[in-house]
Amino acid sequence: MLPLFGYTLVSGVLVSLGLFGALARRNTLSILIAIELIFNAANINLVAFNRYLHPGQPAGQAFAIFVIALAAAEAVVGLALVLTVYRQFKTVLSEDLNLLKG
Amino acid sequence: MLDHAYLIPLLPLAASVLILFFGRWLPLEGAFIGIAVAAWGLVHAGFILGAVYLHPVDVLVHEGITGRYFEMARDWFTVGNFRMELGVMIDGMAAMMLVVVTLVSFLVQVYSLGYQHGKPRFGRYYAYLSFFTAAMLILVVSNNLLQFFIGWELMGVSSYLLIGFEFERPAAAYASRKAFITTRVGDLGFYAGLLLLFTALGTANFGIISAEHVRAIGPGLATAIALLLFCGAAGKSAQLPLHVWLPDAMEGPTPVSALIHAATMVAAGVFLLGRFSYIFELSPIAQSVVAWTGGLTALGAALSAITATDIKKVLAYSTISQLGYMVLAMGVGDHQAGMFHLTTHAFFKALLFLGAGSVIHSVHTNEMPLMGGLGKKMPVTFITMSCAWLAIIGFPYISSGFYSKEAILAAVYEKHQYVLFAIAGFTAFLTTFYMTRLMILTFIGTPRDAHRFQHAHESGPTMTLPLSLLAVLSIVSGFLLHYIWPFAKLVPKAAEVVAEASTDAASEPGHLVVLGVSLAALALGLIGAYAVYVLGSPNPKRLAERFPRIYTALGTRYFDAFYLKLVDVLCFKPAAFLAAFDYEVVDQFFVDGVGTIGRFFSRVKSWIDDHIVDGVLVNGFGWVALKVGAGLRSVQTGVVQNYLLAAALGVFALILWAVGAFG
Repeated sequence: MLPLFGYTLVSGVLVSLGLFGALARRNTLSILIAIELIFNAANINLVAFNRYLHPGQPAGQAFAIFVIALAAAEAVVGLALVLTVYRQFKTVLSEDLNLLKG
Repeated sequence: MLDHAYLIPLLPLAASVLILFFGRWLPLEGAFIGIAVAAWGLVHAGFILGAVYLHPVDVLVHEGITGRYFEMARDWFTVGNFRMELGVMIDGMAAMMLVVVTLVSFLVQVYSLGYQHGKPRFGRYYAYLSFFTAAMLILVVSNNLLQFFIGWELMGVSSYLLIGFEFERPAAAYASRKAFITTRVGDLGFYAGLLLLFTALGTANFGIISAEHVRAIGPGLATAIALLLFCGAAGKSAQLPLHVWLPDAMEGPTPVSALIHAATMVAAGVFLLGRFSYIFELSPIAQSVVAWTGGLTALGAALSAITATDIKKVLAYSTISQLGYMVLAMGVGDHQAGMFHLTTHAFFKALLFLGAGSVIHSVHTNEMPLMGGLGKKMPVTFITMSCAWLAIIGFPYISSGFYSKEAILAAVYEKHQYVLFAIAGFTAFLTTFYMTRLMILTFIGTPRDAHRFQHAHESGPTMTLPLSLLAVLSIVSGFLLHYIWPFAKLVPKAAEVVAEASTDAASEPGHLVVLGVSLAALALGLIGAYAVYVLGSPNPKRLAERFPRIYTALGTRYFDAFYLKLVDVLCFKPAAFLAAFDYEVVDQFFVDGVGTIGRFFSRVKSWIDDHIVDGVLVNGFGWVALKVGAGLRSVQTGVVQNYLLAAALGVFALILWAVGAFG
């Protein structure tokens, strides 16, 4: 059986990739996809820690299910926002969406 | 009858209130109420006078040193042991005055129906007339000092209201103020006298004062009280030196002048002297002051009347002069003669004024030089006024004035006041002269203003009927009160005077002297006036040109000038000085100085405010906020990823802190 570190390493890599994607990509759709990566990193952590620290109990897995459901809801809202933004500004590039610039 | 005598003053009072508040909804603006009440009062007063004449012992149940009297009183208020009453006291004097006042008031009100017809404030005029009458009646029936004073002062108020009735004219407003203030000067002394009398005797009731207590006053105190009371009488009855208001009081409507000069107001002063005659008898000094004041007033006013051209002014001066006679009679201790003359004078002076009013109503001027020959146009007015003229000049035996003036002259003569007697005789001559002049200038000769003469007409019946009635009274009242219903029975002479007269063996020849003097005065006056104003030799104009100094001296109102000077010196000059002081010192120095200092400090404060508070503090904070804001703006890029980066870095830092990377 793999040590816990393996899972956390994978989840750490996923978070890093997701964060990089969210920070570096220009396209808001890509940013949404990158955020999905972060969700999944968290899910891996939840399941792994559940397995290693409290084996036989469903709490961590149940949380992961919740997160997946929330991620789906988030994707719906996020995509709807992107669609609306596109309709409004004819662009989905994040650096062009700077109406709140001080 | 006497039990309900209180109704005589109260009903006119009620009438005036009624007319004042409800008159506008009543026919004639409520005037008929005043007339009806006055008529009723006249009947009532007539019955009272009759009762007093016929059954004096039955109805006048009390005995006082001034004669029998009837009294009825209710408690008004009590202070400690002292009870103040409101009451009715009727003796012969009061009964006679009641008739005179109600009669003149009634006739004046009837007359005013014609005279005031169509004038503004008709209803209010009648309310004031009723109020005036009520005030005089309150005074006449009063049984105590305070009630007397109340009536006295109410009369002052109503005279003010009526003299200034046509207040649209500044002269009328001025005259009403002058009358009010001048009489107020006298009233001050009167009030002091009342208080002194009250303090000395401890009672305000006339009956008690006259019966026993008055002898308790020492001669010094009696002199003081008498002189103070005389101050009031001099103010109200227009005696020197407080007579100045009366000629100006002519600014009131003419019927009001008739009321003031005959029945109310000026009669009150003489009535006061009659009421308190026993106090004056205690003080020979006060008596001689009164006598001399009366004599000089009679003379001075008669002199002033000679050159006056305003018909009402002449009558006003003649009133002052006749009042002087009455006061003279009071001064020589014969209040019977004074009251007698007051009664007859009331009739003929009311008639003279109402007649003058009729003339003025017809020709619309007061100036006699614009009249003349009116006797043909206004026969009733002419004939009735001639009756009054006979009375005022004291035409022997057939006129009322003869009897009363004769009584006064006789009283002066019997007191051996020969200088005063000479003055009174000379005044009688002057009276005849100026009254004859008035009649000639108004009614006889050729009209001097053709236009006015053409439009002249006899007045209506509401005006001529009162004139006719008064004309009859002016002629017969003296005869009646001398022979048939002797006035002496109503107003008994003081005991001392009677005693003196009976011991005076020279009384009969004395009367011959008096008669001779008054006849001579009458004849000289008539001849003089006829010569000057009918024959024109000496011509009055040439006389005036030849003796300009005398002419102007007669027309000059010295007392007015003196009072103006007095007021100038006492009030206006100090006021001007104080005004200058106020301006120069208080305003210019203190107020402006404080202002200057205040302005200096406020400039300093303004500079601090502008440069330090605003410049450094307020603007400084703004500047700091602006710069900081400008600096911080750049952080707010609006790009969501920048924020996310910051959040990520923050989380990263928190994680590092949590794992203890910062030590």
